[in-house]
Amino acid sequence: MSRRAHQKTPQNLFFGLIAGFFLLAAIGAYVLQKGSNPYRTTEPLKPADYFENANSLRGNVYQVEGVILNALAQNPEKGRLFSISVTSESKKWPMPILIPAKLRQINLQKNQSYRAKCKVDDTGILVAEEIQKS
Amino acid sequence: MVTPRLFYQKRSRAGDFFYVAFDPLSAFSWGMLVLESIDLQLGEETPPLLSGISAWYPAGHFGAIIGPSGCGKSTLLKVIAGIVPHTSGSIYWQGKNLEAEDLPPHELGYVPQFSCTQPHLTVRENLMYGARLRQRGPTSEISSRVDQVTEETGLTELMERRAGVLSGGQLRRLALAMELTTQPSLLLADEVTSGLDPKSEEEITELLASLAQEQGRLVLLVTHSLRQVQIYDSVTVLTGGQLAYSADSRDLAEYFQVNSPEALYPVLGTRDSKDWASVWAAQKKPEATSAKDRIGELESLAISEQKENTSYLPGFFSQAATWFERRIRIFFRDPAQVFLQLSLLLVFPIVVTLFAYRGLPEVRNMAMSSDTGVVEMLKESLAFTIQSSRVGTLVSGLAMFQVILLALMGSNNSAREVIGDRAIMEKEKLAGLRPGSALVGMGLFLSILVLAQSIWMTLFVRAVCQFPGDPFQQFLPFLFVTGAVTSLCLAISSWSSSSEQASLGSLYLVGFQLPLSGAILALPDFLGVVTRPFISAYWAWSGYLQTLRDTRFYDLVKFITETPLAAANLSLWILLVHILLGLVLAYFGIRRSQWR
Amino acid sequence: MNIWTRWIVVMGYFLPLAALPQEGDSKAATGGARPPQMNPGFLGRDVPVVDPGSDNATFDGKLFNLNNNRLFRSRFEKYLNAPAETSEADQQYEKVMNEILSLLSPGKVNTENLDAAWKLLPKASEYRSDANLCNAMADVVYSVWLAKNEVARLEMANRTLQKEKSALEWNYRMNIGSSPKITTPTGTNPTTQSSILSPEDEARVEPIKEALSDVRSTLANNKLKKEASIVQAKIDFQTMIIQYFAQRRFRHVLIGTRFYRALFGDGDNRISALDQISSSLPVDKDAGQVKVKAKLDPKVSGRGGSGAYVGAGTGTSADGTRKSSGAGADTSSSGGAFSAEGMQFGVENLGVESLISAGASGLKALGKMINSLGQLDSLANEAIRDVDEGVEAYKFLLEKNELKSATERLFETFMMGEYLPSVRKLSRDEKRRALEFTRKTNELLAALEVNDLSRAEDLIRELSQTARDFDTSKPLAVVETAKTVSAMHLAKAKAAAASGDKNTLETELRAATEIWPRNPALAEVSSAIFSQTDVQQQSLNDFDRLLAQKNFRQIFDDKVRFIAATAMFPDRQEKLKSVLDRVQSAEAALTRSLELAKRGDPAGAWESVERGFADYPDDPKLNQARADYTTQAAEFVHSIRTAQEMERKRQIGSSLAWYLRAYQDYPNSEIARDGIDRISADIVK
Repeated sequence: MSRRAHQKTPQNLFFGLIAGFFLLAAIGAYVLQKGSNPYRTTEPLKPADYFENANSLRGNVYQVEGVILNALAQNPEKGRLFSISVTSESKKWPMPILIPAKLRQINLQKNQSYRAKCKVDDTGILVAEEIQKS
Repeated sequence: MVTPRLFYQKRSRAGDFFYVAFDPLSAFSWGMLVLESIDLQLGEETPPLLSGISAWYPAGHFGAIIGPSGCGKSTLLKVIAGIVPHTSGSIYWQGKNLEAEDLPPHELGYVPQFSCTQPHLTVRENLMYGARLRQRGPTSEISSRVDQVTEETGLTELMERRAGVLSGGQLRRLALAMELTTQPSLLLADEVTSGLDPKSEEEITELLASLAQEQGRLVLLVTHSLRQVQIYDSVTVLTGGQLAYSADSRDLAEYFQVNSPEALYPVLGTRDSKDWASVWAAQKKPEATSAKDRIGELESLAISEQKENTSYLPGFFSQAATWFERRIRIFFRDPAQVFLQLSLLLVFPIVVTLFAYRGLPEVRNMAMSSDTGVVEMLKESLAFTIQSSRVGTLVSGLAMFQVILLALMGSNNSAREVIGDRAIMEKEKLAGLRPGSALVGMGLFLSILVLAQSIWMTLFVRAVCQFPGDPFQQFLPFLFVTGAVTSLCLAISSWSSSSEQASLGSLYLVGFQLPLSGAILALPDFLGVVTRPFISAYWAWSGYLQTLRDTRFYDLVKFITETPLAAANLSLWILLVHILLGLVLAYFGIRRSQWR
Repeated sequence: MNIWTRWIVVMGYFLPLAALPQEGDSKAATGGARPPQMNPGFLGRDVPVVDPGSDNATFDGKLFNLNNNRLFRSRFEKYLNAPAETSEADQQYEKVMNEILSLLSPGKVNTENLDAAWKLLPKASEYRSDANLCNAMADVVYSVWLAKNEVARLEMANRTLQKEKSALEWNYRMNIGSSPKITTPTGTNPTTQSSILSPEDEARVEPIKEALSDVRSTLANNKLKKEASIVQAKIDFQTMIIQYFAQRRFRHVLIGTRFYRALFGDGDNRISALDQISSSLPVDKDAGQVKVKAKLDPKVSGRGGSGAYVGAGTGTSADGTRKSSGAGADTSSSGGAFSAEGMQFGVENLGVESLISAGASGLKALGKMINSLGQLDSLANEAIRDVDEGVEAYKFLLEKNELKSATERLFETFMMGEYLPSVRKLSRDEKRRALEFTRKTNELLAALEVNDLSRAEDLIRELSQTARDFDTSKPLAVVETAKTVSAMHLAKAKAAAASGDKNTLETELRAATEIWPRNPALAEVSSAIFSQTDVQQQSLNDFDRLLAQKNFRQIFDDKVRFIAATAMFPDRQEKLKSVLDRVQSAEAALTRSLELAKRGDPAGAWESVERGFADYPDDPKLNQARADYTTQAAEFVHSIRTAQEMERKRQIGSSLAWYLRAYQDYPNSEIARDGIDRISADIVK
């Protein structure tokens, strides 16, 4: 039944195509996600751990994503201290984050969502090394 | 009962007669077209449309297929053309089983009952484009061929007339002419004379007869007119899907014992079709042929072989270009279309800007210190929420609005693109048009529209509303979403069996974009994750908003919407996938044969 | 100078102005306080007392300014109460008086009329209103006549004596022979002269001389007597008239002056001629007379601050043989000078020993002002007229409801013309309103005098209602001021009591009492203050005990008595204060927390209690509350506690995170906010 005049597309091909494209999209998404979250490889911080004992996390580097709450204190040399609300396990954890002086050009406003790569310093405070809007 | 002659008297110009012997066993080497026990049955319950049709047609032959209405004449022709697949049996053309190797496009000419030509184009243009799609070669060659054909078909005076204004007879001639440009060896004409005045009928029948003599062409005409029976070389009588007679036209009256061929149909009705079929099957068929008779046969064979070797079809891109050129011409010949497109192009951006013709409002920031009182904080929070919902909604709304309007334009671009001229396209596909070329041609045409629409929307709205952000980055999601919807609607169009269906489908596609995008109301997470990949509007909206990332508007939009915003690159990628998906689906849709 | 003023002047200097000392104005005297040893009254009679020099500044108004004395006031009230003297008797009296006056009117004076008038005098005295004044006048007139008769007799005797003297003198001369010159000193200068005689002449003339001197002295005596009699009579009469004038018996004055004129015929003589009259009197051993003499010396002027009169006697003798001398400085009077200019009066203390001298000095003083009885006459007439006018004015003002002015007017008129018919004839009804007003004002005065301010206030109000022109603003203001001042003193007293300053307490209380004795608040304060002394010690003991037990709440509950008890003991007071403060703040924290809890804010309640805890950690109530709220606001409390613990352990990051968490749970939390601020500042240092 394969006269030139009538060509039938098999059903399988149809769905196969759709599936194929889905796959294509997924692959692309995966590949591109890397670009959208540069800190993907960094371990995300578990707020519960931080709350329990911040000092035990000294020296580690984490990725933190949250909403800016308040500006707590600032010092032109040391930087700015903010409180940031991180959602984890459907709970909101407010945490302090220090934006050092080298990142002073970034304008942070309340309720903005940011993603940062932070290092926990000796006193247990999260110091942002890189930060970008998320 | 006389034995009908199966030795068909060929009338050549010279008046020589050939007698060709019929050898069932070697028929395939002599007969041009051999039908062997063709059956066509759709479904178990329905009676068969064709049953055990066996016929034999030589080259250089003008055969008529007649029978009462609904006897299966057109169906048989379609089966021969390959448009309708038969259930069992074989068809041989020049000794080759057509199932194994189909007729090359230029060899087959099929003139359907209802002609389909581009009404906006002139006769000449129709023929030229048709010819260019069917055959390769320099334009001059094609042009001369077209002239030749028009002369043959008597359309010379009507060359510059629009096909839309031609009369029925003239349209038939045009249709015929279009098939003749490739000089097909097999010309199948389906009731081309029906409904014409007697004079036109005579003229066309004469034309067909003359065509049959050229280059050993086999012309089969389906007709139910029996006025000029003698002009036919052979007559094939079908009744109720059964073959009642297939022999020389001179013996027809005698076989059926009627005084004149006009009285045939009533006689046919006296007996059951199966009886007639069984009677005919019992008839002795002639045997033996002389060597002399074969020569003509072989000659025509040789000629047609020659023809086969040359690759006759124009290139893929040539066809695409022809299609594109023709499409452009058709577009500009249709003022309504032009007007519509222009209106949409200009009005939609204006509608968008109505919501923010004063530009975007400035954003107030919230206090950051934690020592403001609770009441202060709440007040500020409330003010910020109000502001966010106002400004955020505005920005998000504007973005989404642009996307939706572009989607509308996109769907309008291509919803009827394929289905509108489906019949023509099918014919042209039969004549050798590659589906891919058609797609490319369409794609080119639609791309122009898409580009214009997305560029203008981006720039105009930006200019009036003073949107911040990179203009090119904003243009891309718009371009892609328009392209995606266009291509998806093209796919819908190619898979729809009617214009209404296509329109509806496109409408639904666009209609669901907005609610499922999550821009207005966020879907529950599990649902959103599943549906969002398919909603182009979501990705365009996301991608567009990402260009505002460095502004406060982004924060406000993020504040008010629960739907996650996708990254810019990802959005573009997904939209690209949508475009490709649409195109691929459209290809298959075009490739599929859909004859009315 | 109007009649009223002149009358004042007269009275001011003529009478012993021994007013009753003014009670209650010990502070208000401005040069007018009379020494209490002054004899009240004049001539033993009851006279209204006027103290022109005093200025009782308590009230405004003429009424009280010049006549602020109880005697006058009560007399006025008595008058107002008395019915009008329109009885038969009064009318008869009127008739008699008028007849007398008409009999004695100038131009009609002859012996018959005089006699007739004189006969009518006792008749007039039959009536009570006359107060026997006419009788007195009749006596005086009779004595004048007697004196005159005596004078006639005395004249005769003197003539006889003269004859004898001349004879004796001729004898003397005969017996002496040629005799040396005898000069008779003449003139006014005291000279002492004596003649030189031979011894035989001396012996020869001795008896003659003796007889001569006898005669001479008798003659002189008689003459003196004669003079004295007439003078006496005149002085008597004049004095009487003046007295009548002082007594405001103006009609009697008129009668008197007319009689005088008729009797002595020299009514227009200047009274100051009395001086000369008195100067013609010989020196006599009678000290009073000498004084009189001295006083009547015309040379003496009425000036002098201390009034040391340097008097010189002068003598004029008819025959020129008499030598008289008189000299002496009389310092019996002292006092300020009298000046006739204007209304300036000085204070004069007169040491009156005899009628004569008093009269004489008065007369002398008067000399500058009233030069004649004729003037007195006209003054009396004027007075009568004034009084009549005054009564009319009173009636008029009464119609207008200007009670104050009316009463004042009536009072003045009364003071002047108490005995005049127009005043006496005012009916009781007409006087009633003035009476009421007067009563009320008297009451007001009385109330003010005892500082019964509330009663005074009521009276002021009543007065303002009845009298349109009664100015309440000043009295009210004074009352209010007094009240306020009293209250202030009372407040000071209370404060002093609270702070244990007994002296101030006493003084202030007394001051408050003085100013407003009936201050109702006074009683309660004093009782409150002074009843505590016995319970004070008990409370102190309790306080010490509770303090040792650290039972602060008990102290707080009983704080009232402890405050009072420790008022006098500053160190205990300090401790009490600190205890109360602590419990107070704990209470406040507890109340606040209850309020917050009621509003559905257990976190806030807990915080409030927590802060209270810092002040008073052992309070059981606070403990209980804290436990309750900890369970109610468990998460928040947990966050705070953890944060604090972390901070202690120097886990800054976690601590801050927990504080932020607590702040998120309860944005109003001050503990959280403080913690955040503290640690944040520390981090960015």
